[in-house]
Amino acid sequence: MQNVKTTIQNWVKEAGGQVCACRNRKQGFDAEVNALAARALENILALPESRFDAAGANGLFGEKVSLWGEVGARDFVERKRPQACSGLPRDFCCDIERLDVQQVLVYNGCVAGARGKNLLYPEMAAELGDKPCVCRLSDLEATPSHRIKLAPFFEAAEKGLRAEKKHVSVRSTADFAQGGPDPAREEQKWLNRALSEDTLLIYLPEGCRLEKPLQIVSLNHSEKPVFVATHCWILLEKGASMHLVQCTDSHPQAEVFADGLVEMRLADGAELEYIRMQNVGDRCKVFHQLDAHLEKASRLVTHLMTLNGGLTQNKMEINLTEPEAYADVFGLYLQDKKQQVNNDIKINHIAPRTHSRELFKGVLDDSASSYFKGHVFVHPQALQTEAYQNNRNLLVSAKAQANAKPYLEIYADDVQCNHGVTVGQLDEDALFYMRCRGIPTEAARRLLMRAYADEILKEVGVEALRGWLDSLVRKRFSGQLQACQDCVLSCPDGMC
Amino acid sequence: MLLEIKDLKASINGKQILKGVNLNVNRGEIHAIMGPNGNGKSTLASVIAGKEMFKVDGGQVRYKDKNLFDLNVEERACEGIFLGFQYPVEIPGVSITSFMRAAVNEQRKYKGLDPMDAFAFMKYMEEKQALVGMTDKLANRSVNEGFSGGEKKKNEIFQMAMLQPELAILDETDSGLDIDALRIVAGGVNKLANKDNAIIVITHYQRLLDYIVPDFVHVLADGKIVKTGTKELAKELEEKGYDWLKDHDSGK
Amino acid sequence: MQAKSVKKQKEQDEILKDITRNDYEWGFETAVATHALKKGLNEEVVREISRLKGEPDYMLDFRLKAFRQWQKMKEPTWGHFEHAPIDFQDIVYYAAPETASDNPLDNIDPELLETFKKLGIELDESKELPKVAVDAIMDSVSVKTMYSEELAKQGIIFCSISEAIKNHPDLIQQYLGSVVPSGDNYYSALNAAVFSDGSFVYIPKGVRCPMELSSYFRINAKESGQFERTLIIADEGAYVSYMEGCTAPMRDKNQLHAAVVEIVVLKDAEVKYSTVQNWYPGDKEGRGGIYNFVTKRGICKGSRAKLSWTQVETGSAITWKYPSIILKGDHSTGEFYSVAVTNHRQQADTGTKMIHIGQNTSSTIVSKGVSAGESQNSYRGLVKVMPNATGARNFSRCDSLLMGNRCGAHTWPDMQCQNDSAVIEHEATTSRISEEKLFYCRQRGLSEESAVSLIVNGYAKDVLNQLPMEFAAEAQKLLSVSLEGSVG
Repeated sequence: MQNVKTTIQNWVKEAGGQVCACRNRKQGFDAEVNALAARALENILALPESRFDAAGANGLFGEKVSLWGEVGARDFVERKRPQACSGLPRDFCCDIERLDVQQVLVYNGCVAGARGKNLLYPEMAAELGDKPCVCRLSDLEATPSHRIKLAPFFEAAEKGLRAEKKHVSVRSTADFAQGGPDPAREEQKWLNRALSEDTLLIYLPEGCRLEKPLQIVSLNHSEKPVFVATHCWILLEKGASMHLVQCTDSHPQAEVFADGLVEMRLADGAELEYIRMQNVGDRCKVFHQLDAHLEKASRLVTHLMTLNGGLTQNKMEINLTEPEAYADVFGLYLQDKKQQVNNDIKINHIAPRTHSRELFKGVLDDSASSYFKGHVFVHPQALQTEAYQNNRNLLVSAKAQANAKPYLEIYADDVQCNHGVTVGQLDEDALFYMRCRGIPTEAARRLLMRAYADEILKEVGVEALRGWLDSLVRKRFSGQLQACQDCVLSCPDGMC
Repeated sequence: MLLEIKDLKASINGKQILKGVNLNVNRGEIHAIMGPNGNGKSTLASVIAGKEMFKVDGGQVRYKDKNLFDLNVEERACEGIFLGFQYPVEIPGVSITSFMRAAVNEQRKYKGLDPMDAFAFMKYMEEKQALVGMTDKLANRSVNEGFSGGEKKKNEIFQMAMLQPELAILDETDSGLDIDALRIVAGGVNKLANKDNAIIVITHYQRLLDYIVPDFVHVLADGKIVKTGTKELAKELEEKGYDWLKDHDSGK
Repeated sequence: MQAKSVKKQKEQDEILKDITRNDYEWGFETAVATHALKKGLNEEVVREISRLKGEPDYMLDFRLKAFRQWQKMKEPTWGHFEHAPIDFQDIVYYAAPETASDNPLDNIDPELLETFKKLGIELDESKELPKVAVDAIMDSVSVKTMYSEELAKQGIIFCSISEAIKNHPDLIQQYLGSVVPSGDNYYSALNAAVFSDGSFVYIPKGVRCPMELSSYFRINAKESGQFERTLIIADEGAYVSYMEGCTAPMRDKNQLHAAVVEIVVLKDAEVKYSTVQNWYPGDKEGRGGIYNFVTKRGICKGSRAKLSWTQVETGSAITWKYPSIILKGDHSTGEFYSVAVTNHRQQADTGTKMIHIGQNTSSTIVSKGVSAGESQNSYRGLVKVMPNATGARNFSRCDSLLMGNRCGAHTWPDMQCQNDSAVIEHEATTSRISEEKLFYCRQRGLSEESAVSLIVNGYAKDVLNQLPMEFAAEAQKLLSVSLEGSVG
């Protein structure tokens, strides 16, 4: 019988040992990356069989949520690896109205653009110097200074590969207060490390403030069901700042299982606004992980916008490792049909005076379901922590479901933490009032829903982006926006 | 002498606020301390009451011939020091009645008196409520929770009446009050003043002193008392502003 | 109104007086002859317990079935606490004060009467004090049930469960294990196999129980576990308020308490169940104390049924307890009010489950945790709205207060909503006791401990207000005593 394990083994066999299409050019950091990939693959194949059968309690794709059924695992086995990056659509462009962005395209997991170059400044070679640099990791020369800069990423990966799932019958209180890598999360990273096609590296030198937002467009398309893994490292040096938009789009009929891992490190005072837009077909599954490491007084603002997608899982782990680090995590999910969305946010307050704020709002229609798990962890040293965690759900159809687990785990007393969850409906009184003024029910509902979504949208820092998102959300509510239809991508003929 | 402050220096988070305050207060006197905001008026009140976040860097405070700094916050209260808070704190779930009962009886215990029995206490409380025009309804609510600014200040004066302090320090009791509330609050204070106690009124405006007539007016600026006079001084300040004082000072 | 506030005030004074006391004052031991089985658990022990109690065959079958289930089960490990492995063969499963086992009603050892008197429980019906009917349970058996005859005049059955098994087999067979099936969890299976006694209450149709019913549990024997089982049935339109209290002597060794409480509330009936849990918590270093693994669940079976759990948890080394409510009847109501205080090395993992099945069902959860010392205090709760529970409502408020920097306060809620007309609201905050509030109280002359006690009582007021008058004062006192030595 085929399962996730045999599928992966088949891929390895078919590819003659080379699972990832874009790697293995034997240059730059390839040796290191490939060594990690090989070990990750070894780790995965060494996992107990029970982990591969279905996404049960110990499944490879995270903890069991009964509502999810056999998500992921069963789906996984029929998949192929994508073709090597040949079929890149020509004349590709993405228009965001009135918005001036710099773009990087990732097609089926492979980074597009000239080899060996800084993709932001195509005339320059890839180098982590005094200019911002976006490049493939394999295009970066393995010089000592590059090695030093990237060491924390490699160390974290190493540590993750050594993480073991402890099977202790009775947990020790001392363990609770440790924090450290969560084995359940690490396993999913192994999968990405083993199977990601490429590593996209984004680097900002000290004090560099990138005014123009950077957009990464992940475009996935294949005639056959495929599994695509993408990987990204983001390094912001002291005082650097940027806005990053990551869009995942797919053909509405495509059957892509997209696995993404973004690892980021923000040095002292660095600021990053990260907007993740997702608008993929109902037959697509997106498993996305974000790992952030925030140093002194750095600030991360993330927006997870899930407008469409058959199954979406956003896992996020934010480590506030030094004082005054600050994280804002916003999420909006608008789901219908049988779509499912899972936001799993862990925030570790490790140092004093760290702040975090989470707000996730969702509208669930038809038989859509959402699952929110927030986990705020406060280390005994993290005094004067402030953490706010909020999840709001609107159920607009009889079969829609909302689930929430807002966890607080607190080992320090001088803290201010709170969380709230609501599940409810649109305000009937308001609907009635609007209708009395002549607004049809449907329009009134949309108005209220937009107002509801606005709380998230207004937090987006780039005005032009906000306008663009707003129009997408509006279209989504009026039923005009489906994956690809009315899509922001001006795809060449034949793609849509 | 009831209170004797000598060269008092105090700081918070390493920042020097009081830079050598001298002040003598006798029983039967009403003192007003005026001065621009942020110059140490509230700090002085907090230091006398014993708020731990302020560090005393030097000087002496003697109260009823004891070293004030040998006493902790509640001992000072039991010795008769009352601080009327500028921002009275809300305590959800604790009614004013149970709060005051606990306070009154703790203070009685300190003085070696038996606790007041329930009926006597209720009667006593009614009496004092009438004094400040506080309604029964208010007394059954949680301490300061959801009170208006005026209600909170009235509640402070009510507590002062209940506890009958020997030294009452009223920190900006007039702030946020309309003229009617001000009259009630000031009226309460005047009724409570007698030859055996002393009152220090901290205020930014002369307005309050139309209702509570002080024997002495002190101006606290830059952490020191820079001028002391009678109630006429307050009027002068009102007319000429605090800048006048600065010029006046530097001219000296 | 005034008299009430005066009374409240008196209670307040009690607290202030009591705060100077330091130790667990219920830690004494009663010198009474005890008949106990040998340590260990096997099928023979289960049979022996059943035989000792002279049970009919159906009970023996019930026990054996549960025992076999238990043998196949594993201890749950998801709780947020740690303890050394429990050796289930190192526990005495049956211990009974000797005189009581023969003729429980007439022949009570004066030592026992004295014990319960010390605990504030007057077993003498001739005293016309507040009329509370008590079922006093020492170790494995019910010592005395008060006012049984008077209650029987109204058709109310209030007796030990052992008597009910003999005298009311129809009710027992219909309801025992109907809310908490033996196989529900590890400890409920264990309880079903070895439970020795507990209380049984049946309130007939339309009867409003004229007095508070109460059971008082006391572990006295060394190395014994206590496994009591309580079953309460409120027939249509009935009402009863039930209180449960418990204490144990101080012992260096941990003792296991694994109780099951089942409540069946039929159409239009109402049950209020209040607990003040004050098992021995162990000493300051965490030696000894009761492991309290309890399954409590009620079902609102008929329309407009109402069940309310109120608990004040101050004792036990470990508390693992989730009084739950299945809201099956339309328009039925469930409430859970909890104060859990942990100090020193105590660990509490407690909360509730509200399962909404019927239409227009509503539930309220108010949980107030206080952690001090090096303790760990968790709220764990489930609110589940099933697809047919149209119009379901839930409101949850779960606050945690931390005192000191070596303790932990955790919130593990789980909300599952499968009906679009349901409204769920959950709020929680975690903070430390406010310096401002402490200073304010101290400035008014309260000692730091009084100030803490006052603030904590204020914080817990929403829950304490739910308790019957007879219990409220005791609960307030307990809160203060539990937090002694937690400041400064």
